[in-house]
This record gives sequence, structure tokens and C-alpha cells, in this order.
Amino acid sequence: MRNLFELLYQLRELLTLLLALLVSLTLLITNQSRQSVFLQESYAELTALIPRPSLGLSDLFSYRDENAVLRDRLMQYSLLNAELAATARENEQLRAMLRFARRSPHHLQAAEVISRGAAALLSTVTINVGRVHGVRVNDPVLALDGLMGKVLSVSNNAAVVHLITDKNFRVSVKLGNTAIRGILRPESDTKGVINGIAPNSPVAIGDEVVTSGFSDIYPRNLPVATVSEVAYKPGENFSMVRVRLYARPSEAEHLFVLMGDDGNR
Amino acid sequence: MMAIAKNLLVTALAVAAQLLVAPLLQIGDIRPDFMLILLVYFSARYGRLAGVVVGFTVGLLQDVTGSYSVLGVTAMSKSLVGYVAGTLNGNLSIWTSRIVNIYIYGSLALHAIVYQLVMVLGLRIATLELLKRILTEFGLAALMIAGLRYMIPLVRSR
Repeated sequence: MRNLFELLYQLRELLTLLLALLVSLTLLITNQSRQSVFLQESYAELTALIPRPSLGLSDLFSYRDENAVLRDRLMQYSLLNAELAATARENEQLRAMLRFARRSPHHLQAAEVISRGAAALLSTVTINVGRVHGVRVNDPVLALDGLMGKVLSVSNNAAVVHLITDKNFRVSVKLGNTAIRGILRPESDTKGVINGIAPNSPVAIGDEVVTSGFSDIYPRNLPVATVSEVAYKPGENFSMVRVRLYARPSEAEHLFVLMGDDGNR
Repeated sequence: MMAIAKNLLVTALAVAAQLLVAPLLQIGDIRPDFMLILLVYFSARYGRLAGVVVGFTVGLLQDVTGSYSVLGVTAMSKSLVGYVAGTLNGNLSIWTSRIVNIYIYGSLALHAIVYQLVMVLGLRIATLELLKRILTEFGLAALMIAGLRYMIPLVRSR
């Protein structure tokens, strides 16, 4: 305490000056003269500056809350938008299916994919039509693009479809309008190989591959694939024709079961 | 007692000069400030504390009685002068005349600057005009101080 008094005593001149300045300034800014008004305005401006960071901080918090609300809304709208887009896409697919069914000379039963199985590789899908709809084992299954597979097993209201991309799937095909025929086996989700094509056969990239009709299961001229590569190794008996499959099993949502004239083919 | 009487006399002279002579020596609207001279005298003689107290009191009186003053401005500027000029107390015989002059004329300049700056606040006044006002006020005060110092030296020559 004594030290404090000593310090105050030592600083008495400066403190007196500060006091005098403080009183003078107070007199100045409490006055109504032009200069005082200007000082008052300056003082107000200065004091407005002091709480500005805290105001900015509170603004920041309110912006954060507002941002969270807006983000939530954005997510809702994104979901809604995605739903609308899916509905539009489904609508478009259904319209295309309707056009396809009208155009096709075959009796088609529309079906929806209800399961893609739990296996690591997609080799079968389950559709929502079955025996009561006239579906039988080995009925060909089509997508809008082309052959998708055949019915493997049937229950009353569902059927399992063996997909064209399964490695055990085989189908007899021919290349376009020619008489060149071969057996198509899949290699991957989008590619396949046709065996049994003679080396001198006029096969070109881009040729369409359709079912040959040499089958009890598949009628002729169902679109299957398009030729993507033709290769011949000297000394071999056959050319290797690689194709790109039309069907996209992983994307298929709606399929057709090809029925016979009596409800079956 | 003599000292008090002397101080009262000097003060009375300064007040009289301010009231009677200053209007005669006015340049534009700037009058010579005899009270400022009095303040420098008191500060140099009695120190900073006395200088601040006297400066504030005299300035406030000038503010209250002045016809064009702004309340507080003279009190503020004269408090500053009192503090700066009060530094001379005890040092007049130690410091060189150059340093003493710096303090004396510096305090006068400080008064002119602070006073004129505050007085032109809120006015759209050219810098040159402001400078002219500051120089005028400083010039008047400096002339008076120089004259008085010539007549009454602060320190007896060694």
C-alpha cells in the first residue's frame, strides 16, 4: 500500500495532467458547440468500433446456425430432387418399355427387378412375375437394349433370371444379316466372346450380334451385342470375335419376359 | 509573502493585458495570449504540478469568459503547456539555453497546435489556412516571450 502511495506521489504531476485533460475533454464533448458535436460524433464512432469484433463474433455464430439450417434444407431439396429425377427416369423407362412392347412381335410380360441377390458377382436377378403371370423356366428375358438372360426358376409371383453376364451363360448367335454363327459366352459385365467363327468370315467391328434361332429357348434376331474386336492368330482354327453386350444387368430395373403364343412361346 | 504578492501582481498584469492590450494586437481573429506567457512563467518557476493546475484553471477561466472559445479546449491545451513548461523547473540553471528554448517555444507551439486543431474540428478548412493560424498564434506568443525574456531573464547570466 505504501509503495502504491509512493508511486502515486511520484506520478502526481502526470496524474494531474491526465485528470486535467480528462476534465477538459469531458467539458468539450458534453458541450453543444460545433467542435463538441464533432468530438461527440468522433467519440461515438470510436465507441462503436470497440464492440464491433464481438458483434462480428455474434454474427458469425448466427451465420453458422443459419448455415446449418440452410444446409439441412439443401439436403432435403437434394433428396427431393433426386427422387424427382428417379421418378422422371422411371417414367421414361416405362414409356420406352411400352413402346418396345407395342413394337415387338413377341408377347412380352413386363417385370420389375426386385432383387439382385447377395453374391459378389451379379449372375441372377429376381423379377416380380411368376407362374401366375404365365412365366415358365427357360423363358428368354429381355431388356430394352437386348437379351438379358433366361428364366432359371419360377415361383408363383417371382422368377429368377439367369443373366447373360454370368460366366456359365451361353447363347447361339449370328452376326447381323450374315449366316455366320457362333456361341457367345460372357467375359465380363459388358463384354463377351464369340467362338466358332471361321478366320475368313467377313466380320467387322460394329456388326450387330443377334440370336441365331438355333435354340429351343431363344427366338431368332433378338439383339445381343455388337462386335468390338476381331482377332485371328495364325495356326488357330477360329477367329476370336469380341463383342460388347447390350444388356446392362447392373443397371436394369425393368425387364420383359418373352412369352409364347399360348401365354408361353 | 513577497512571493505571493509578486505572483498576484504578475497575474493581475497578465489579466489586464489580456483584457485591454490583447484586442489591440489582434491579427485576424487571433489575439496574443498573455495568460499563456503567465502560465509558462509559473510553470517554469513552480514545476509541472503547479503548471498543470494553473494551466487548467486559467484555461478554464478563459474558456468560460471567452467569447469564441469552446469550453474545455483552452483548459486542455494550457494543461499540456503547464506540464511541458513545468519540466524547466529546477533545470533552468542546468540545461543549456538551447534546450530551455526548445521547451519554452515547444510548449507554445504545442498550445497553438492543440488549440487551433480543436477549434477547426468539423470545419472544412484548408491545411494552409490551419497552418497559418497555428503560426500566427505561435508567432505572437513567441514574440511576447522573447521580449519578456529579454527584459526579465529567467536565469541570471553566469
